[in-house]
Amino acid sequence: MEIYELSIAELHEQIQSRRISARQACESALGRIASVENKVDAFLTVAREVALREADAVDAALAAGKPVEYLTGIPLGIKDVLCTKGLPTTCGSRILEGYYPPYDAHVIERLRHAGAVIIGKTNCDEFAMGSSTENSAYKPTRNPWNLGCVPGGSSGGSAAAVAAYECPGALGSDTGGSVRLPAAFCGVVGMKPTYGRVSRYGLVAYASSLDQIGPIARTVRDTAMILQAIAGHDRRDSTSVKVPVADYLAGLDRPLKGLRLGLPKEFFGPGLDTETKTIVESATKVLQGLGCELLTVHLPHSEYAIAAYYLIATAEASSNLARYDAVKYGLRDENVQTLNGMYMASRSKGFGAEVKRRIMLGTYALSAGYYEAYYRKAQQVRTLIKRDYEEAFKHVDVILGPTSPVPPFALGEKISDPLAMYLIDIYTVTLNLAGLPGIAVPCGFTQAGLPVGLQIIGNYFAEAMILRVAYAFEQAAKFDKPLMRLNGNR
Amino acid sequence: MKVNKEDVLKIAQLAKLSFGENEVDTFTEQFQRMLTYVETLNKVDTTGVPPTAHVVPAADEGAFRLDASTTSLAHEDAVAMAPDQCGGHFGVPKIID
Repeated sequence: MEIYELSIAELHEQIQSRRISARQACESALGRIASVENKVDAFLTVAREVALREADAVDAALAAGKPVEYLTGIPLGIKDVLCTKGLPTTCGSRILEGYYPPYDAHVIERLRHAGAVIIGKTNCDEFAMGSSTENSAYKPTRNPWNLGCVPGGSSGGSAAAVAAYECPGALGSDTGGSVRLPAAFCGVVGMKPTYGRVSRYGLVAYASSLDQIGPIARTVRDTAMILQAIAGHDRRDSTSVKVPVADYLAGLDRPLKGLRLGLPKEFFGPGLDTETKTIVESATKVLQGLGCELLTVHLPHSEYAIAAYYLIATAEASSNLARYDAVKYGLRDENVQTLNGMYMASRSKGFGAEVKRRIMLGTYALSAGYYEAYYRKAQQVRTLIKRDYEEAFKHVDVILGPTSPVPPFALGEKISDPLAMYLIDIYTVTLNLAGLPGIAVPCGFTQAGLPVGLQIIGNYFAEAMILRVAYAFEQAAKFDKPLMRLNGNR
Repeated sequence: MKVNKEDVLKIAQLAKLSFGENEVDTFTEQFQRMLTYVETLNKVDTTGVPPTAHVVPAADEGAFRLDASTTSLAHEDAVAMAPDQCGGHFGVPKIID
């Protein structure tokens, strides 16, 4: 067995007992990247030299007696929307080509402190706007399960890298489903924590009231280990909360007997692919078999979630992306001699089509005369969506559903129809609007051999609870995962 | 709401974006479809419903900190990535003639 095949938990054990060094772990991951990256295209930057230096520093610290934490010596991929000092941070956009942030994001500081080794920056839809990673200005990423399919988005590079064994774990960001959807499409685990659980300091903002950083890994335990390292209050993000961080590993294997699991009627209705429906329903039966009670719940405003999301997210994006003025950093069109002309030319050249569409919709929704009808209306519907969940959680402990209405689709299939692409987020987006935590865990494969993800939704700050349900499911389901296909003749 | 090419060009001005002549028609059509879609919200009765801007009320507590100065980015780091700088300042095209 190669080192890169080990999970974070297994690698941690090996590093703790000094059977594997951080350098060996890093070299193994880099070797795997060198052999499969030309097929997957998960990375925008592979930090070869920097990572090896960091790994050596970790080994030196361990030799000097520094205690081993969960992530010490573990190579991780980082979505390219997170600021990393000394490594480029492009957000998948031409406007930030060659940009090196002068500081680390809070989560990067946390990872470095724990001794994790950042192995590279992963591809994503430009400014995290998309559901397939095809909106990256640099290249599309491919789904390791079928290279003709998208990995999902926007954190498609992170999910594909983990699925292809290029790294055992990664960070993504989730504004409308951008961690959970690619995790489901790539057959790995991905979690969006409660809004405010993880500091957004140094996460390049898309829609500030919805954005949340989350872990991606191949197992639930590994996902919990990454979350443990990044969760907690940070004064530099005023929306990060002071709620104490639970021990996400301590209760992971507690039995589920007696838990009430809610199945929203609205998540299993028209629009859900029949094969996906069958697979997700049998996953709920697995949990029922573990002694859980299945109950129907109602989330009646779910059908309006995508519309509310696209007004709120684009309004916030239009404001956040106003910072790209070609003055402080980023691409500048040097051919224009007036200030306003420079703004317009640089932004038009630097932003891709989807980013422009969203900035335009957001600008319109916030403009005089339309604010009440669009933006305020969307915020009111957001309240109703939140209330739906509050009501449901009076009766159940967690809520279950599909992550995506369809299995992974072909590259190019939806890219020319923005609205069709938006609808992929139908089951994930309500959590961002309500601020709730959710986890996508692999729950089966379609006839075509493509992964399907079960989504487990928790109440506010119930990360430990959804990890526990996901873990129990993972242990009970025990898929035979043919994960090494990339080594074949594809 | 019906939007035409002129509306789109006006919003583009506000957003500091420009579109080529052949892009505007496609964009107007896509924009119209997006607007029509989001207008499904009009079917929801929101009378008396307060708007939600932020979801986690506990965040209020986290928002306060001591009004004390701390270290910040060094000047040269802050301007290091600017496309144009003169003497440690951001350089821009001439604003006043």
